[in-house]
Amino acid sequence: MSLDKVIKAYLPMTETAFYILLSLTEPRHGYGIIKHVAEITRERIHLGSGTVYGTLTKMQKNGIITVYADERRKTVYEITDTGKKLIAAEINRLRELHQNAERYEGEFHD
Amino acid sequence: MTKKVFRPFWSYDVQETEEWLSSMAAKGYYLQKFTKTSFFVFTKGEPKCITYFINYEKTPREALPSAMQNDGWARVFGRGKWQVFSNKKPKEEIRTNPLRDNLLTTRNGTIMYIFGYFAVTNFVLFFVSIYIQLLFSNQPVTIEPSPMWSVTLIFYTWVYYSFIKLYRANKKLGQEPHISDTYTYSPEEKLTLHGKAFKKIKLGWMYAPDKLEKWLEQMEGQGYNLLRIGWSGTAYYFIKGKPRRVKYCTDFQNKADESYFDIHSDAGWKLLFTRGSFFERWSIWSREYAEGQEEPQLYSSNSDLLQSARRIAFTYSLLFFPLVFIYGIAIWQHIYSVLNYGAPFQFSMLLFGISIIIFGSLIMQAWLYYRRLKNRFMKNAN
Repeated sequence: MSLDKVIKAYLPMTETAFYILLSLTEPRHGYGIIKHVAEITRERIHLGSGTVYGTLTKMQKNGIITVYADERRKTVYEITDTGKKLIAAEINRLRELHQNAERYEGEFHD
Repeated sequence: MTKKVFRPFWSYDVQETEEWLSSMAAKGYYLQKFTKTSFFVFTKGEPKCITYFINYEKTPREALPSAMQNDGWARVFGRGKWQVFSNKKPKEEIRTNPLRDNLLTTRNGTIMYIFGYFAVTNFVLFFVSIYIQLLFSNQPVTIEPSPMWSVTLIFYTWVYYSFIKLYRANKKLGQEPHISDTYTYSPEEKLTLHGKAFKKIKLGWMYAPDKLEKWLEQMEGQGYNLLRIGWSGTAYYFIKGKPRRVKYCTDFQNKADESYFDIHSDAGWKLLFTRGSFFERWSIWSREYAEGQEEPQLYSSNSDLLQSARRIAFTYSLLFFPLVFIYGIAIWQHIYSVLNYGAPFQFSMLLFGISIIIFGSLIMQAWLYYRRLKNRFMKNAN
């Protein structure tokens, strides 16, 4: 899939997809992603292994991530250039969201 | 200097072809490309130890994972969906491995089924026609000598060779990332199986998997611990023990690879059953949890589960609807000819009718399962 198509299909991202992709700052195993997401969200998000497997399979099909097997023959997931551009676009969107939230937050306090 | 080698049917067994490419490199012939007509083109150089990997990918990768590039892997050649990678490092020093796309298993699997279908149907037709000849005509069967027989012979040799070769290679391919199909149980378990364990049969749970999960969880709650599930997924062996809290999850995949089994077992799930053909795979996972602990779930979002339920319903509809349709037409035609031409009623129509009811109910059950899930989530959302 081309970058434009990928961005259209994935943005805005679900919290699940966002955190799965965000945890690929380095290549990780499937369960490594689950553990990392629990850690950075301070145990708020416990991803189901079925959800993670499904999301990763879809992302691989769309060229957002790529896979290989390590010396223990276990699958490792790595983000592609398309994937990096996608998460950057999402982070920009979230930044705008965050800025506007801060800007107008006061108006809702009585 | 180049060398051209003809290697027909190389794609039937890619692992064998990979080894052959390595042996060619050891003689100083490096793969340059291969043609559509199965000619492999090599360039001559110093003998080297090279590991090859052949893959069949829907969308050729934009680049290899950087971990693989750093490990010495490079793309040699690509044409259409075929991709060839190589690594010049000694085999035992290679730390990363490319993962074979499921597409290859699907491709060769499909080819194998086509050849298999040909082989079986032609074989049966051949003998049935000779048998009928012998039965109904008084004349003995004579085989006309003809040079065309050699064409027939070559054709059948080709069909049977392909089928056998593909069958063997596919079995190897399917095992490459090791998927253990049957749950192996310990000698102690085997002993108890003969004594205290009892067996319950559940048929056709694939069309209402939520009911199976609930039943298993209730059995555990009453102290009937599930020991194992038979290979076909219909026999359930229990043993009387203590009440436990165990979550059972049935899971449907169109295709599952090694990483599917890894991620669930890493996350703490126990695989009780897995069985599949080339378009579907069912697995049953279980996980014990303590009182007060949140019930574990395979899927953390409801939409995933709903999507999977829809996929189940669609798959079985696609599978059974053509049968319902064909039987329906046959019955309709028969009724038409009975009413209009006074044709005698055929008993086989009754069987067709029963088949329609059975297949139709399976389709309906699968969709009812989807609706039950949807209603449950709607209730939770409100």
